[in-house]
Amino acid sequence: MRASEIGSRGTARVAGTAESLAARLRDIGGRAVHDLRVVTWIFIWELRGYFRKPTSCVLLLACTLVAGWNFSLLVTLLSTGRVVPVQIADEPLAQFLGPNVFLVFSLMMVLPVVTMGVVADERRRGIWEMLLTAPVDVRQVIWAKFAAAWCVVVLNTLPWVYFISVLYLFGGGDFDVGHLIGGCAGIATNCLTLCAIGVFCSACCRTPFAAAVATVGATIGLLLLSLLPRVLEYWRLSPLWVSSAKWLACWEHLAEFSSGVIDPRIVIGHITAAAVFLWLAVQVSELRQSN
Amino acid sequence: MLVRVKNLAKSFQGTRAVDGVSFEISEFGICGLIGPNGAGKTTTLRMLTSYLTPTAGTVCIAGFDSVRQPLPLRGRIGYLPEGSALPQDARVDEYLAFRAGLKGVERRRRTAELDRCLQICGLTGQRRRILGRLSHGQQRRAALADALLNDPPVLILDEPTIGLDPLQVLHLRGFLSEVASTHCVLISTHVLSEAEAVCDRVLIMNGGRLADDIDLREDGARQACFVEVDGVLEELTAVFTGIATGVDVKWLSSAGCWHRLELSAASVEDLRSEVAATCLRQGWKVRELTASPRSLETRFVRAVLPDSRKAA
Repeated sequence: MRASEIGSRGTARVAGTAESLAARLRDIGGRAVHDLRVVTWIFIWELRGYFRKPTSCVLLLACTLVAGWNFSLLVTLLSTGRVVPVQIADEPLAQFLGPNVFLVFSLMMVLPVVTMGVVADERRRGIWEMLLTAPVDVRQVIWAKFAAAWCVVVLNTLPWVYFISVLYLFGGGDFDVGHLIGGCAGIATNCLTLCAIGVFCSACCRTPFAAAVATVGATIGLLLLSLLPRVLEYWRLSPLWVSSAKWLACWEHLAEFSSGVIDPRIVIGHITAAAVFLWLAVQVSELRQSN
Repeated sequence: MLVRVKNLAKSFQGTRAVDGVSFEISEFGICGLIGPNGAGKTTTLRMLTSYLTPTAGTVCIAGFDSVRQPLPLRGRIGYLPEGSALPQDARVDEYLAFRAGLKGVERRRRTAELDRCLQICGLTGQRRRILGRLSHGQQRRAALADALLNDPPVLILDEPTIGLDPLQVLHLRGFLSEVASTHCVLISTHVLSEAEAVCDRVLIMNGGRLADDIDLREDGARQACFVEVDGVLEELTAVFTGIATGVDVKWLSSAGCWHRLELSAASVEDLRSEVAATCLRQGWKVRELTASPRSLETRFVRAVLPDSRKAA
């Protein structure tokens, strides 16, 4: 066999491999585009469906009232200047979009209301069956519902952002924009995990009420986990234990964000946690279909 | 092959809801799935739509397997579930547009497709109404319009006439007869008269099993009657069988020399008058000569009732 022949065969093989690789990539790309189209379509429908319900207005009104109350306290604190923060996260401005009692409990109330019906209620009413007899799969439906729930939960925290923006624009004085940007990023990031937990609870439970109870239970669990690093520090355990516990302290992350520090590791951590809970929700839903 | 179901089984926590059901539908037409409550009809239909995963067996619709290729399979079916599972706060056209998008109806074709389905289901005037404010029958029709979107070749309708008024039932039957020439329609129903009126073929399910498979086109042309005659059973059977070709004689019961028989035939113009004439010719005493109840009803009862109650 001549060298030129071997060369041409080799070239043909490389070309064939490249062609099959390109075809596979086209296939994967096509499927991704299709997935995105379906997810977007269901997401828009879910979002519109949520705002068709009177609950959406009631919830937003309640959040606005709580945020207004919180804002009035902030203004009082700032005007009296009685707070001497030990660390940045303790500053009233950082606390406003951080783990303050008003925001945390509002999120803990909004979350189950929004996510409880996502799967459990639809399954009970038969809408789930209708959805899954159309050419869509469980994964696409769960992702779309999660995205819609996340948008709604984040939207309900907008009154806090609105009030602090008013302070930024009209309050004068020294205002660190880092608190505003970091706080928004923190709420958005934390809500990823919280919503994914809510969707997972909804997928696991038979009734929306049970899903709501499970979600509240999970958020209370997260709240207790957030206290863990401080408890470990109090017990003077090794810094390794404390730093490990900090990874699980969901609400503590909010404090870090609202002080103006956006840690990409925490963002990635929350995205991963959300992905894991959504994967579990898909598995549970598929398991329920096969049993 | 449009629909192929092979050894289909489904268990729910140890309870066998469907147990080894097999059938094939190779041509367009209407196939009815009938059976008493808890016979496994809805579970079978849910497995056909790929919503439920079978415990054993396979479902193949338009060449696609329900477990391995559920998405292309779902693209080829239109499904109307038993209850009207519709979002109560959406408008009819909004909901149908959403469903059309899910089913891959192109944007430019969507309005025309919606109009077509709404017209078939008589909902053109209700398109802007909120689904929750429609009557039960109208909601059923909205769900049917959803099943018809994108014109799928296989329609699976679970109790389609529940909640419809008699006029709507007639309208639906007319529509089903129309689409049957170009679609495969699989309906489940409790109403035997309905199955008899619209179906070309009926599958009877009982206790999760397929108890009978009746071709109504063939069966509908048959006449049947009961006769109770005084004579020798073998002779009676031989003579009645000879009335015409294809006469089927079934012994039912005997009391002394009286024998009760069921005769059925497709080729005879008036079976009862033929039987009467034969008895006169033979000089047999006759105690009963009545038309048999409709064949579907008889076969349904035979398939569904336990042996001990069949005789009664």
